[in-house]
Amino acid sequence: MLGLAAYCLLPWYGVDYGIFEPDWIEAGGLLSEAGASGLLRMLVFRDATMAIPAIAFLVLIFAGSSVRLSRRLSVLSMAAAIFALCAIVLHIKTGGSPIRSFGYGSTLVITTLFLSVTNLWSRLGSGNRDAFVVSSIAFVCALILLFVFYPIAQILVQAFVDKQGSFSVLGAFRIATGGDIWSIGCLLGKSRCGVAVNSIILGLLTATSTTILGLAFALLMSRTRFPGKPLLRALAVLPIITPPFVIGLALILLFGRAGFVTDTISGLLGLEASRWLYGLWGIWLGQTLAFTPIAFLVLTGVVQGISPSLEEASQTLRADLSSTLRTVSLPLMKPGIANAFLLAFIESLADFGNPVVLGGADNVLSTEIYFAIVGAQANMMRAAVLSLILLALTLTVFMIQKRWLGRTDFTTITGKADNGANSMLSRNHKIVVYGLTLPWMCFTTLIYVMVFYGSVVKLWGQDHTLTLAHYREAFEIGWSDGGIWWKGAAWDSFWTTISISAIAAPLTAGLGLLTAWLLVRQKFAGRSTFEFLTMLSFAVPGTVVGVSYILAFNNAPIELTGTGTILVLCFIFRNMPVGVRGGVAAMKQLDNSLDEASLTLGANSFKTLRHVVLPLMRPAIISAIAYSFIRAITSVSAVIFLVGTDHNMATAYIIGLVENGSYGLAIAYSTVLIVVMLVVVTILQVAFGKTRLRREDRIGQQLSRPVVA
Amino acid sequence: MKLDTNWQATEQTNISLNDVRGSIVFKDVVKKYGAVHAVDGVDLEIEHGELVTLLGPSGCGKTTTLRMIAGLELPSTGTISIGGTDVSRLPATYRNVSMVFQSYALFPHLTVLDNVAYGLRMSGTKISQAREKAEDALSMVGLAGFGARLPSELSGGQQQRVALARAIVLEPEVLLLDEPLSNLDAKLRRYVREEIRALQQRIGVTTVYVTHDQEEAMAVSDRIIVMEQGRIAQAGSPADLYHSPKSAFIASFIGEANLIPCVAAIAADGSRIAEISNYTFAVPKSEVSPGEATLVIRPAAISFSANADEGIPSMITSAAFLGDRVLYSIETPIGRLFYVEYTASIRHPDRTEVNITLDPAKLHLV
Repeated sequence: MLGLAAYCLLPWYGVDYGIFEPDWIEAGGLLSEAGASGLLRMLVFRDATMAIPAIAFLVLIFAGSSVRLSRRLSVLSMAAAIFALCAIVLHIKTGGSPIRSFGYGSTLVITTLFLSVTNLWSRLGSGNRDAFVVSSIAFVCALILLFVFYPIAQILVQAFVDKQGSFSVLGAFRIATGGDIWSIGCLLGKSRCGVAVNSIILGLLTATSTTILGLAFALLMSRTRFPGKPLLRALAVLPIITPPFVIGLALILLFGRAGFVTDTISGLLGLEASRWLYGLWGIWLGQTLAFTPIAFLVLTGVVQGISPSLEEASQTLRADLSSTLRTVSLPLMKPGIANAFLLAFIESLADFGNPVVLGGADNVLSTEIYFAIVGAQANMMRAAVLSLILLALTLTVFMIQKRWLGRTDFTTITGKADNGANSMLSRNHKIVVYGLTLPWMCFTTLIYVMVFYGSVVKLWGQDHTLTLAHYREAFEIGWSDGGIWWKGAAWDSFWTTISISAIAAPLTAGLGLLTAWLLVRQKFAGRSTFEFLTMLSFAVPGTVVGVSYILAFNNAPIELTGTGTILVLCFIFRNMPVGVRGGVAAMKQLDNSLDEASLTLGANSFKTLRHVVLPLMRPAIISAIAYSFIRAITSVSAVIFLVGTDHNMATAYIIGLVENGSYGLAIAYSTVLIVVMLVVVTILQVAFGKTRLRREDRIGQQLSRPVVA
Repeated sequence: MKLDTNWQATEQTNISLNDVRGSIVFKDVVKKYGAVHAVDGVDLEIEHGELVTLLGPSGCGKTTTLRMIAGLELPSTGTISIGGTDVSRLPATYRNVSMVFQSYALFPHLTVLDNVAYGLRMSGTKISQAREKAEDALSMVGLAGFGARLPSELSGGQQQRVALARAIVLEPEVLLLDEPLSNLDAKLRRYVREEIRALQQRIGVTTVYVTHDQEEAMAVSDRIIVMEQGRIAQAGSPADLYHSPKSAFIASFIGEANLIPCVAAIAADGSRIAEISNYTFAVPKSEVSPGEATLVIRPAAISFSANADEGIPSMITSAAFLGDRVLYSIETPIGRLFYVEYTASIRHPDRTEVNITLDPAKLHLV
């Protein structure tokens, strides 16, 4: 029905204006050739192919109106719908030049036709499939194919097309094996290393340091009586709401050439300020600061997952605390530790914010891809080849992680309530753990203090007078003609960021949770492949996503670059795996018999999802929304390729500021972003986070009620 | 006159419809999970208004059978009909069947009343009407006035009754109970199972009850279907199963029994005798074919002989006093026997020699 309305009323082809803007009406609106809807195209402009969807819709409506559908009729109408789908796609792909892109009308028509096909398919198949489940599976698969795999396939194609537009395997091979990518000169002490080698070295360094620090923090958290645990939790959350380059900026403020520490030391020792920070070591420091919290979160789960009874058993067998840790706990944690290592490795490879701020002359793959596109000579082929190399690296690590470690993740959690507490650390281990973590905590705190301090001084390194000038420049509000005038330079990108993230977040969470529900609660052929596909998009680095979206959606038939839509789509499919993981974890906690009870009580699977699963998953939904919102605001790597003049995102804007050297303004903006995210997340948690399922609430009410004698 | 015959005809169809309504028929039903046959060729018929128990050890396929009646699993092959209609491919949502889950599966975010009204709401009943019916169902299980509470504020027994109310409020053709007592403590169990039986009798709904506890099964059921490895081992009334087990498995599963391997032979008068080493026992009730067999000796078939020269010379190997009865383990020439004597004290302590006799009327051969 919706499809039919779209067919009649919405412009079939992509139009250059928003449909609510007056420009479009002036250009002729629906009545112009370019803006006509499908129906009008058929009737007024004599476009014969437009009759196909009309016929398909008629068949479908006829089929839908008959209550008990005969098998033959369903097959027939399904065939009609499929035929119409193919016809529409082919028509747009081949119909006339210049090729025109899909518009609102055709998109909706395609979607509804597609859903009708899945709906009819479910009626044909065995009875256990209800239409909602089949449609959801098909819908999620189609979206993932279109917005994750199709763009990546485009990279694959682009990698073999040289500047003249001709097909060249040799050229691709030459780029892929070039010395600037694979040279290991720096290890031999001669010259620079290739970018891929840089990336790998950096990945190994970062993974090692974050894993060690993460483990130390995890042990500190669960195996000592460290008094500052709440502070530790806060510090672990902070980097998640910090845009990735902010730490890099703070490091520059501390250790850069005009940095605070650099100044002090060179003043004291009379050394000349060096540029050591700008390069591999600086990136390493930045990434270690940024990713240690992730390793900490992963490893806390691992450390707490060790069954206390195993450790107690070890102690009753005459092992002391330190040999218990060495011989029982650590071996049990090994898979978890390896998992954290590989995660950090992937994060480091995919990181863009730190290298772009701190990289200096040492480029890594992700920045090299960026410069290949925005640099002096835009080289799409090179960017595509580099993207493929980066993708191959992350996918390899991802596969290793899945293959070897996927299952051993929660070996010792039995589901039975274990008595006893995990054993404490021995004295020697405690010294090591404190020695590693305390300085690092101080360092992290210092970094954040620097971020704030840097935003309120006039000109870092030269004029340290306190001022709010940066905030004023970015966020000044003026009054004009009785309305608010958003005078500050940052407002534009700020509102774009907030609105796009706010649109993307619920969609991301929704799609993620729907997928999680399908994965956990529905049995269907190819379920494991489906799971693998959804998780795979997690391993695609943001830079690669950015490049692939440019390649795939720059031209007709799907023309999206420069629009807000492409940003929203990009966020949805970049962050969906997080929603899926959260949803899967939360849904596994819900007893399946709740769903089954609902089914036996006459609810279909959609109603079950709506009335039973969703209300019970509310905390998971809120955190999925909050997390996708944050990830959308803080993401840099993919966004930087996709922002247009109309839709500039805050992070891309800040990177621009950093490149111009306006550190104060950049940091002020980042601080505001951090505060906004904190506020939004807190509001979400307070407003919706609580579910009233427990007895205490009511008892509390009763207790607070005065007793009348 | 004409009107009258018509009326009669309608009445008759109604009666036959009533007979079919709530009946369950399985025809050669198989459920495979990969290579495993969870249910392997089950034929069964359950009549309207019957309370039938599916009994068996864990993994015997009884829960899978129940879930196939509910529509939560669909059979791999074979047909299932409920109320005379083939529902083999019909999913749970569209079957007129309600189920009480082992974990009760009460929706924790809904109040007790909304839990009970849930099924009515899903089938499109108006909210006020649904609430009214739910109140009625709650008072039927003795929980009137508990509607506003959340499930977490009820005791286990009360939660169980809410689950029951939620199931019966839909007036289903078939009520399914999946180990409904397993989460209750031992003392409550007997009370609740009597309640369930009484409620079932009152509303007359066809009920299928799954349990692994034979005592529970015997206490509530009209008929018991014992399952073993995905097949029906034996079906019949509790007394049938106890008194004429068809296999050693049934004999040991229903009530307690000593199973002694023996050779069955036919006596001159055509009745059966069991031969174990030098001893022969007449087993008048049996019709087993001659050859290797198992002699089923219920504890009730055993007694201590009054005089020393009568019966089988045996030795007590353990005696345990349990208040109203004493459990004996007795070493005999035909094997070790387990015996329960209802008495106030241990008459024969450990290591004493006794003679025992077996009551032929209480022996079975399988």
